[in-house]
Amino acid sequence: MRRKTTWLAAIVFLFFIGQLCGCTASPESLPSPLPTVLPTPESSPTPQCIEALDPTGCEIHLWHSLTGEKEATLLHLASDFEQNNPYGIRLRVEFHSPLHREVLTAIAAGTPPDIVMARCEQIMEYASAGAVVPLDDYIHNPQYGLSKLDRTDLWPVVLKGGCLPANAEHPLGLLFDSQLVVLFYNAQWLEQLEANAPPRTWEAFRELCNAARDKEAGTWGYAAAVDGSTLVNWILGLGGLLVDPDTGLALLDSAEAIAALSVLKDVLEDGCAYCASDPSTARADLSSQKVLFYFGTTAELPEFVAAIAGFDEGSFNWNVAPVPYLTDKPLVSVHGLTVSVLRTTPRQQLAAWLFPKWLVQPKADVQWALATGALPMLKSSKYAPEMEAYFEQNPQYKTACDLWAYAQTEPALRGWCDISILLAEAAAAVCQEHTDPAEALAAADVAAYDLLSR
Amino acid sequence: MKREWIGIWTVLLLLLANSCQSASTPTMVPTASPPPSDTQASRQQAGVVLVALDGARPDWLAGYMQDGTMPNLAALAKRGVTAAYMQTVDPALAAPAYFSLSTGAFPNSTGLVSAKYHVPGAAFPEPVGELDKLIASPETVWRTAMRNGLKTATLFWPSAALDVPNLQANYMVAVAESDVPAVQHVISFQEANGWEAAPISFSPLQEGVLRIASQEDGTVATFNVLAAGGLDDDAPNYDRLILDSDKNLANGHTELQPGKWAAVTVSPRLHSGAYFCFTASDGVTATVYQSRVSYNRARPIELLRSVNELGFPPPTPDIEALRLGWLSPQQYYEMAELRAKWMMDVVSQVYRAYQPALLLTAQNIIAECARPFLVVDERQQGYSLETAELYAAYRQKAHSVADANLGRLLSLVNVADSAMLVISGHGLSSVHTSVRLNAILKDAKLLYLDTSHEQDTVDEDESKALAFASGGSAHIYINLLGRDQPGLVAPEEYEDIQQQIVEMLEETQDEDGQPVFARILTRDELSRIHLDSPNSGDLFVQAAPGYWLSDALGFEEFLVPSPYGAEGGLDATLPEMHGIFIAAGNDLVSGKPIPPVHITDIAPTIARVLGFSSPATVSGQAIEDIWR
Repeated sequence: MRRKTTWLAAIVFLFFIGQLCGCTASPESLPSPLPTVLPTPESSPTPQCIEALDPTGCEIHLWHSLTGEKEATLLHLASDFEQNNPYGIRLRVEFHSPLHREVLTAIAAGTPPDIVMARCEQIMEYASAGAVVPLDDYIHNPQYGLSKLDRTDLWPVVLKGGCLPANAEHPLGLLFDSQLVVLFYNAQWLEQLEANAPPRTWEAFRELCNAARDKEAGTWGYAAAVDGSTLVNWILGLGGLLVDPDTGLALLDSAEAIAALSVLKDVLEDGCAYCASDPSTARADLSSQKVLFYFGTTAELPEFVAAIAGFDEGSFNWNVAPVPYLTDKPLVSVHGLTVSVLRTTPRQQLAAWLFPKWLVQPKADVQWALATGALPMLKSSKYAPEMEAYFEQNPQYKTACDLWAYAQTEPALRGWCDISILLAEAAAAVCQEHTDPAEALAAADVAAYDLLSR
Repeated sequence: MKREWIGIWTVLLLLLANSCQSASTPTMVPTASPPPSDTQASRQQAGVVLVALDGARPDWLAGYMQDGTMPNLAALAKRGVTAAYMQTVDPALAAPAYFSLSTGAFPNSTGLVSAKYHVPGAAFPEPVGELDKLIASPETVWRTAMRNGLKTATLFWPSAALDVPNLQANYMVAVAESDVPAVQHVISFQEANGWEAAPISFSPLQEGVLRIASQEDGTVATFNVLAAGGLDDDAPNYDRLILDSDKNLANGHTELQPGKWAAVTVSPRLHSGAYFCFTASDGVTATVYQSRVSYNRARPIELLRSVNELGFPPPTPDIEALRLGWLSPQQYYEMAELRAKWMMDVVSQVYRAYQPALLLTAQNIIAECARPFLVVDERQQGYSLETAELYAAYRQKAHSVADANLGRLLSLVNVADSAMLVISGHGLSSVHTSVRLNAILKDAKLLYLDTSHEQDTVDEDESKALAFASGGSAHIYINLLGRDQPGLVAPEEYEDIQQQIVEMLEETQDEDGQPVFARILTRDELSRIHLDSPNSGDLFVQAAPGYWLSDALGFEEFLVPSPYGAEGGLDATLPEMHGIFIAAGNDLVSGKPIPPVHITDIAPTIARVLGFSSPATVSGQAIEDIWR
């Protein structure tokens, strides 16, 4: 018995010694790889009390991919903000290219920029990783937000259109650097054709195109350079949808889409329109009074102004109008950048918000609009003396500003940029290869489905 | 009783000693003195580590192993097997070669028929080269390994792609670049003012601005530059340039010294940066070279964060800067060395932390130093005996660095359990003349250019043929109706155009009357060299030794002196194009030379070591006669 106890004690002793040695310890477990998608961080909810945060002395980083005059103006506004914001917030502005890949890399590295100016579909990808801060709480905050007057002064689409995905409640940013899709037309010529207004319907459009066509004189009704945004506006103006409300997928071959491309087919077959190989050709022809109509964006206004002013036979009366529509009111498609605040710390996020807030103040808004040709975001901006002076010289710009009231953003759908290209390709197929519109759009719809399914 | 206790204690002590015995020290391939930080990892599982020494040739390595330049590789070869050479695919270029290695399949299966090629249906003048443009390519060996439950890592591996799901490994690191070109800045100075904590300087402090701009002229970063230092000689001269964002040196800055490389962070949130070299100063201006801006990309996220702690990646050595005289040969070499060492820092870290069963990585310093420095022929630009000797020394140093880095990795790998494979996807050949293929096509009125923009572009509505060239190879595409966009050449015209090009190229000769093309194949002949892919050209051409092919537009002369010393892409059966294969460890025999192996045999050989079957798409076979 005693012998047995001795051996038992020995075994227990051995066990404990083994533990102390660490000899029986299992090897340190290897880290397992994390999932390959971007993580969705624990939502750091905007604190109940933003007022408790103090943004004094923060340094915030803004990333963008603007160049030329736009970049210069942004840097100027940033410098203004740095010098004049009451919190001593420093703003570092960086150009990035390729912006999207670099933002995603920074998010993955855990060090995103504080503010990014990017396309809506890119913002949506950052949001799917939990990296975007919805702005509602900042916009409505009594201390740091926009006053009721400020909010009312903003065109609704600037707040609502700042990338609002379907079934989402809160926009992911503010709309910025916006341009509208419009119909450019020769008003003087319209008068000669006894039309006292630009066409309101597609039937009227077709009639006027035919009236303008003169083989001998070499004039045309319409120079077609149809890009995706233009076709989107045509479809929306016919009351069509571009996203299936049930599936959330792109819907490119609706009856309205087919009707829109059928207009193009009809005017081409009538012989009163031609396919322009390049938008610059179409612009040049309208500017030299060879073409009555052209669809483009307000970003092209300065080029038209310069081209028409330089026209040998002197300037003429021209203007812009909404795209023909069947809806009750005009529907003007707007696109631009979304300015978003990315998730960092509550204090940094607040400091970051204060720059977009700065951008929608009257002085910055007018400065941006005048320097870049983008549309002002505030209703009151058109009454600023500098804007009134600009309208005097450029009445078409005032007309465009007045169309803001009818602005609607393109669908906030991931992959929208590629889908827009598919629409442009469908239009090109109808234009250049005489493809049937239904066929061209069916092909685009299938391609869109494949794209989004990847 | 006493004997009983003695017995018990003896048993206890013996048992304790046995269980506390650590793993037997693995048999190590002797290494050249590894850095102190590369200590032996905890015992790793059996696996395969493959290192590609890009551009390494068997004849070069044989010499360097013999003369002591590459002791680690020599020891590995002694420990294992060395093939006479590794036969690569046509074209003998990195992109198709490493993809064939990765998949065990020829380019006619992978679709990667060159570094730059055209895909049917795309707009005629558009080349592609990205891996994401390949549709339904064969499975890579790391994906097969993952399907078999093994952990894999592709670190700086040319055939892996972070953004392409079916080319991803468990652990991946790649270097990305911002769209910021390398630049030689000439900074003009004026009197400095407003600087805090400025250093003492013999010469009056001066300041300037250095702006880092993108290709599209966007402002990526701006630095204030303070010039200081100099000699106590009453003349303004400067030996220190200080880069700072806010003129306050107390809260961080970067100093540049003449001729020395300095790493400068460009975007802190992206962890990107560039390397700067202060190359000249005349007291009124300073000349500073700024490299491309690069940053890390990796997956999973935790790996990205840990690699960022090693700093941003040094850029690829800038051969254009060398050609333009912005950098000296020594500075170019230093760029290559910095990058090679940093890459091995990353590889070591990943291997230690994750111990993947299969790791593929590349060291590019040999190819990067061969390209400018393989000047061995008096027909080459800049050749002289002195230059040839100087450049040979750089090439030797490059091999030495590659070997030292290999040694660092070898110190971590347990070659008792794991196989170490050292290969190269292709060799390199000295070149003296560049042949401008598109100038030849233009002269024959088969190619037209649109000269209305800043840079000439192809007029796709008028051009019937276009070449895409890489190294010594090129694919020539005919703008065929029904296949290409816009499609200019009618099917009935196709063969005539093809024949016209063949005859034209056959007649192209150098000033000695020698043909500059060694091989001209039409599309239906490409099966001979496993290049019969829809992505291949209507003709595939290869230059004769000494020549390489350019697809540059807007030039008139066909033949011009080559600005580079070496290229790949010549006929893959030429000895200069052969790669290397040295392997040791695991079940491999020791000290045995073996016949030539084929690059498509590497993937199935890896599969054999790791114990899984290769997919049916693999053309190669596991190498025989190398197993115990």
